[in-house]
Amino acid sequence: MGDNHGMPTSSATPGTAPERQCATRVVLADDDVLLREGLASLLDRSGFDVVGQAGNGTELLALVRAVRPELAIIDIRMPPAQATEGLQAARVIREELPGTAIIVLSAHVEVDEAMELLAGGQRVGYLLKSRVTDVADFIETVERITAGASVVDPSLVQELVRARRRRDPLDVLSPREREVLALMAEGASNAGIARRIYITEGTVEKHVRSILTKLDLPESDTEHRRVLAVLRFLDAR
Amino acid sequence: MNTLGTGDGAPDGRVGRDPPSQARLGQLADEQAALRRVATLVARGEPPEAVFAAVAEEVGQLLRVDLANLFRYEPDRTETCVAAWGMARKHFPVGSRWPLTGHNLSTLVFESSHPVRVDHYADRSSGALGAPIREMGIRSAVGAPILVEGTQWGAILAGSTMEQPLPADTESRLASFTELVATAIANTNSRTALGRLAEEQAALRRVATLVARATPPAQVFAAVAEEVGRVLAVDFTILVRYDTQETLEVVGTWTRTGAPAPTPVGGRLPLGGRNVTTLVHQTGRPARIDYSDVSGVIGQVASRDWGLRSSVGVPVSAENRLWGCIVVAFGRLELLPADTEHRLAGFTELVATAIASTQARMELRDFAEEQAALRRLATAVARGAPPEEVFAAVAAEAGQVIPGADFALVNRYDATRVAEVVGGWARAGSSGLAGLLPGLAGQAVSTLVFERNEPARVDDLAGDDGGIALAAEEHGIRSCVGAPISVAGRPWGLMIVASTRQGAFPSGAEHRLAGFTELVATAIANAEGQAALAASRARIVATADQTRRRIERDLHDGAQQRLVTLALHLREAQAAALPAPGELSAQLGRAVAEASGALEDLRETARGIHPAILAKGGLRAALKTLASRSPIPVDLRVAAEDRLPEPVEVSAYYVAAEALTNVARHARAASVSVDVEVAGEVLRVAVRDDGCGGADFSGGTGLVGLKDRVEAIGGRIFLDSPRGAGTSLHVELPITAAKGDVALPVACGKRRSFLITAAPRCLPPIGCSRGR
Repeated sequence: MGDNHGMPTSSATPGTAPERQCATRVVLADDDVLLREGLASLLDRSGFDVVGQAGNGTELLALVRAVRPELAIIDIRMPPAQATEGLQAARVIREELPGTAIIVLSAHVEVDEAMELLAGGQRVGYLLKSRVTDVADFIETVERITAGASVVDPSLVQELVRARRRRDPLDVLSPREREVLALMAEGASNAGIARRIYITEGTVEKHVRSILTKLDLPESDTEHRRVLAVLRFLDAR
Repeated sequence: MNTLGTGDGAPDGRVGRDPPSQARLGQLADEQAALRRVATLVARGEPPEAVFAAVAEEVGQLLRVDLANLFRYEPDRTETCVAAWGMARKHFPVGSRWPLTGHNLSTLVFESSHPVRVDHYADRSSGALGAPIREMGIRSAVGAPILVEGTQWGAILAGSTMEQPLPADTESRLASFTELVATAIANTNSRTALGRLAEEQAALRRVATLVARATPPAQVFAAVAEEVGRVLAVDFTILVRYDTQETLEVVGTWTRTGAPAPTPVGGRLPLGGRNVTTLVHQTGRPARIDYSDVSGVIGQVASRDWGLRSSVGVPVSAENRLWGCIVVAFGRLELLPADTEHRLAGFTELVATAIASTQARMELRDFAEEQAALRRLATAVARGAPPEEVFAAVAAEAGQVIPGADFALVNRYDATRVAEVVGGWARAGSSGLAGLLPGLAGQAVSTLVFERNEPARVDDLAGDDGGIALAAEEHGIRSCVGAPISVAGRPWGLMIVASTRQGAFPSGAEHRLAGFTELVATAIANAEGQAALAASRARIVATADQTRRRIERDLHDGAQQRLVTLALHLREAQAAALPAPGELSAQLGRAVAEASGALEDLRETARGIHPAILAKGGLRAALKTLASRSPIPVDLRVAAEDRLPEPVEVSAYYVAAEALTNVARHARAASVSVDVEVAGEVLRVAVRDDGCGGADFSGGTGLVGLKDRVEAIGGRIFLDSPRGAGTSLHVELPITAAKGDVALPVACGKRRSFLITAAPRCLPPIGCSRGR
């Protein structure tokens, strides 16, 4: 998911350009204290300001309302039922404080949950919990999301792209276009895609236009809409 | 004749004293010739009338008289002319009948039983017979009796218009002819008797044929009545069966005129009074009553309605028991012949045989029918038919097998002394179960059955006092039998068979219910056993599913969290060691990579153990994920909107998962379809591929495991996998039955209950008596 330097990416939108002296304020929600502390430590080291931690959805909501963080990183499974409490909390935050970036971490990723999360708007991430172990990649993703991107865990995207259908609509795409499509679904910007697969941004743009045309996806001006459209297509085909 | 008579007849009649003259010898020769001619006729078996006519002529010519006659005496003190010769032809024609009164030869012979001579006859005769004698001017006449086997049968008479008396030997000469006549009559009589015997034998043979042909008893009885009537030449025949100690039932009738019998077949009359059938019932021996000396209801009916005058009855015994009686009667004032009783005996034996064989046959047929019914029921029980189906079938079979049944019910006790009807049958034409089911009749017998825990019967509810019996009668129930149903040693319920007739059930009917109640008990035990087994299997599967789900959670929330935490710590260590030589950092990096690999494996393992998405997103979401991970393209169609019970969703998921795994591994298929739909109370899952086929349940544990899982929650699984033509796996999962507890299904729409209480016989309440 990009290079290992943890640098702000070009996908950052104007006006929210990250300033190190103004660290992103983050709250964490996970009922596993050890993991939560480990994650907090990692974020601290990476220049984030962890302003609060919560052990369940209720605490999280209270915390978010109180400290108004820029980012909330939420475990999907929390007490009391260990089901999708994180998802529900995310929904409430989305409603109450739509400006808050949200990353939902899960032990496994499911397309339905991804769709639901992404439908809520921009600045949303849905990642496997194990992604945090690849620190640089994770931080880069977190920053992209904070900056406005929407990101779906690559494993899910790859699974959807790999899944084979009879009369597969993706058959119309070239292998390169499939690659670009997967990166689009993962929320990569054209520049990000260009960097990832070593082609020029202009070439990426050409591929993207071709993909959108071939798959009859609506043209969209924001990255979020682009990801959403691609994901919906992947799910529905 | 007159010339002959005057020529050689001795004037004083003293012929015997004269020495034989040439004339006397000629006369003897003539007489012998005449006798021989008649004897020849007799020996040839000529009809009596011919013999009589010949005798009259021979006598007339031989004695040289003007008139010769044969008369037969009748029982009413009359005589009938059976032969006439000479002047008699005109005045005493054959067939004419004369009263035996007044002074005349016939009457004198009848009264004295000896030869009689009358001279100056015309002057001295009187009575009806005297008039023609006077008219003819008969002067001298001789008559001799005809005795047949010792009894006076009739008379032979000869008369002359000559003033001179007939010769003195006339009486003895007539006597030689009367003997011939008697022989002829005796011969004829014995021939008649022989014919009658043959006729009787033929009649018996016809009846015997009917009996042998297994003709229904009613037909045999009718045939016996007719044959008896014809053979015995009576006016009426009545065949009766002694119904109980008090009544008889008419089972066969015949009237000579063909008029309908005043008491038809099926009619019942009370015994008692003085009449033939009551006498036979009392003594067990033949009885005879002449004329109208009768009393009692039977006597009244016999004399008033039937018009019987003289009647004879003989007993019919079947299997050493007095069964009934055959009655023959005259409607006229005439006595039945003395041998009537004797002649009826042959018929009574046949009737007895018919009854015995009919009974044996009916018993055999009943037995066969009962066995067939029980076999049908046993088959239903064995194939695990639902209990309510078995209950209904048992009621129907028992109702049809137990003779006399109008209703049959299977009842189950509940905890509060209430017997609930769980299966019922009513004979077509019966007034339905509705009125009966509250058990007004059943109450009586069910209390007895419950009390004693053994079969019981109530033969006449009307005989009981109290409202129950009255109400039962109102509903038409007169008698019933019942037997307990015990399941695993505990009283479960009872069977009741009821009739609208009193005493409808043969003895032992209540015990014949045992075969049926045993089958009910087996069906219940089976159903309970199956229900328990099914519940147990469902529990095992549910427990296994819950365990898998827990393991999946434990993996995600425990091991995975620990691994992520570990990796984070390693990263922290790596960060802390950054200024240090690159080797340590690289080693820490590799450790993180190992941890990441372990996380990946863990995720896969957890997914295989239990798809978390199933609980969260439902069957559609889970199947979608499943399909997206299949290496073979999957066409997935899910027509099930709502969430389904967990066992159903889990089972459907595993069916699809196992099937898709098999397709990927063995089918060499190009594509596979998964169709899921809710059809009423059933979820259908179909997985079809276009691969090589040849799959079967014995092939591996996968399909067998599916079969076990599906059947454990009451579902069905079908596999169609012809070699080279793809594989279809169809599964039906009941949506409602997957709740865990499998209740024993009971009863149909028309459920009725009734309280078992001490009903007609003042029995103590069940609760008390069971405690004893």
